[in-house]
Amino acid sequence: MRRGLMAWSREEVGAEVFERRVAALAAGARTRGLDCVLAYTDLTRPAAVSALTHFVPYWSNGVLVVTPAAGATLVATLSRRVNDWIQSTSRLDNLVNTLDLGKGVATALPASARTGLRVGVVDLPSLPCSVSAAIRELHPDTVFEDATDLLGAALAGEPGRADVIAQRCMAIALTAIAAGTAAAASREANQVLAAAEDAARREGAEEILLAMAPDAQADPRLRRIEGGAALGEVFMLQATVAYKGCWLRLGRTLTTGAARPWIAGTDTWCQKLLSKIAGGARAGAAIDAALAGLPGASLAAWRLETARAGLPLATVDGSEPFSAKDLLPPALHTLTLHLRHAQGCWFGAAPVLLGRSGGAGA
Amino acid sequence: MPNALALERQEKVRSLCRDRGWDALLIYGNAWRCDYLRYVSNFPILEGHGFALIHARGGVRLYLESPMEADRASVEAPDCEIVCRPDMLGVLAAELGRTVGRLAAAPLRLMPHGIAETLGDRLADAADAFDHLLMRKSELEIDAVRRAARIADAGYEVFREAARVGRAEYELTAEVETFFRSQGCPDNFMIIGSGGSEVRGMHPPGERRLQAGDLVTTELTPCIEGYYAQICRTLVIGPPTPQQSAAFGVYLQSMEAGLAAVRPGATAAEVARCENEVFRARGLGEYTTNRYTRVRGHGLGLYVDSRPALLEDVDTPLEEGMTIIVHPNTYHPEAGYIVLGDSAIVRAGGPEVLTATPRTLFSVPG
Repeated sequence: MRRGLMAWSREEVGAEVFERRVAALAAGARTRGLDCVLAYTDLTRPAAVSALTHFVPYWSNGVLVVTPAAGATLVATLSRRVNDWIQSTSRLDNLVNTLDLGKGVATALPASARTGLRVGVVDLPSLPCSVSAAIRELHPDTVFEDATDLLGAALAGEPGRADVIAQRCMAIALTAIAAGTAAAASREANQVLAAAEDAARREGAEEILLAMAPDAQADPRLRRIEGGAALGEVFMLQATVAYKGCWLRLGRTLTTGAARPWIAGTDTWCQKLLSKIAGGARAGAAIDAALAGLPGASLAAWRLETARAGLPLATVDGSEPFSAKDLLPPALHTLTLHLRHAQGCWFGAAPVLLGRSGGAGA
Repeated sequence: MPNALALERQEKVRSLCRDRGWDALLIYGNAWRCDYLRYVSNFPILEGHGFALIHARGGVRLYLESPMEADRASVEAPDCEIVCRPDMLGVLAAELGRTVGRLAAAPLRLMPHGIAETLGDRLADAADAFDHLLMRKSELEIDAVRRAARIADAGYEVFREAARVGRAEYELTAEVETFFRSQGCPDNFMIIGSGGSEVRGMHPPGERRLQAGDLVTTELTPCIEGYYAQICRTLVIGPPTPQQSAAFGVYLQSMEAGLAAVRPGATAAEVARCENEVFRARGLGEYTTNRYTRVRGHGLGLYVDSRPALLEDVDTPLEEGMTIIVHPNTYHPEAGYIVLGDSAIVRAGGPEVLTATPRTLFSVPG
């Protein structure tokens, strides 16, 4: 569950930002001849509804129904007793509590003058089938269409003050990694992870997911530590941090003892690479070109992630082909790199702002 | 996790498939609804969709949407064959479409539209049958719940020490999460409430700072090897008022009445009724309705809020080895929202209560 700070600061992002986004989505739906657009949310796929309303469910699930007439109606399987909390963290026009999400959504759909409804769905393939089945039961001739591109278009024209949120998220991630690094002398994975968790949550993180390769020389694969592990001379730590709906990853290759020049050198190399990508270079080509300046190193894997539809971090490019489309602004991406050196494996992950002239890497 | 537990669970699923005549079972999971997937694959998914396909006489194939999760699964679920493709739903739907034989799915209601549309009526709903596997715990599973209960008790001590005037709710949560993490526990379900009689429930931690006289409620639910145990307690910042103390007595009597009814063969409804009768006898029956409370307890296991829900209209019989929490949490008109709950195992000789924190209305320095 989400168990960090979940609050809406109107100073960071005002209600008018969400109102404009919802209006733009409703206008897009009208232009396409859709009766409404649905966006599903749970704590694993919160990005679309969060971008439209600021709402993130700490538990359970819901569907946002956007129509030109009624604006944003959230149908949620959360108890009525948390409605005050929902309203305090969200910009909604209507709120409906239901025990049966499918029936609740089907009932909330607008009446159509035509025989069947045309319903757009953000990331239609991922919508729980009980929702689409209940809609078809109540509205038998409903036609579903994927509306992920409509969401992208609605958000592209309304970045809001998302940079402020992203910068705060990055600051939290840096604090967490620094705290974890400072605890490395304990040589215990749990102490490093606890220090990172503590720092992030005290700084107001909505969530922090931690992964680690405790002895990177033995096995460089990142994993969630359950129970505990001893740290090797070289370990890897990744913090995936959420703050007010913004997600990013920050990862480092670290040591329990003396600093390793090859790690520090690769960190510096990576910073230059991020600057080039932020300046407009395509990630894959930039990585290939930059590797020429890192003798003895070879690429094991890379990936570029950003928010897409409901997913806060979806892979959009990388070692395997992924389709880069329907990106949510502000085009904050996370670049993850795994390299092989003669001295060992190196890993790094960092956010980079793409798609803006003059944008800066993290 | 000991490999024995993962293998034990997989064999139970294969046996279920054979008994029901299913050639394969498709399991869905994500970080919210994680229990079905963890039961079959032992993988604690954190991001994206995950599916496990288990054949009645075969291995487990784990389909993951996130490449990062696929990397992690190669370490954490080494017995599974890992599949990760850019169009994962399309790949899986096509593969299932070519599968010959009878297919079932759990939980079918959460199965993505992209899968269900392709397979149509071919997918039988296995949720009820699978839920029985989840509810009836083996001794290996119970051992994990028991260890989670011990860390829940320790976590509440940390909570109690951290609850002080001026502390924000999210800072209090941070202290507990940090403790759990330091103990090797990476997951916890935790909600909180603070304030006076205006507070009607619990929620994720906010920015509100604790004040003298506050009632502070929490549910802590740490997870060990995937298994959750829960504790619910209430404390007062400063000395409790006579009204708060008197109100707490109702919850104590109610929880103990509920626990006394826990035995194999009793239904969830009977336990809930015993809890609620205590409130009704004091003229507080209204506060046992869904206007003020959700459930009077629930199952625990690989999911925080498992079946059976303890409600007066749930006739699920309790069975030896089930793990539950009995918690008459609700609003009290004179004191505010109060919680009290203990985790227990259903045993023939009466419940084996797992949490050991005193059943008292705690008071911390104001």
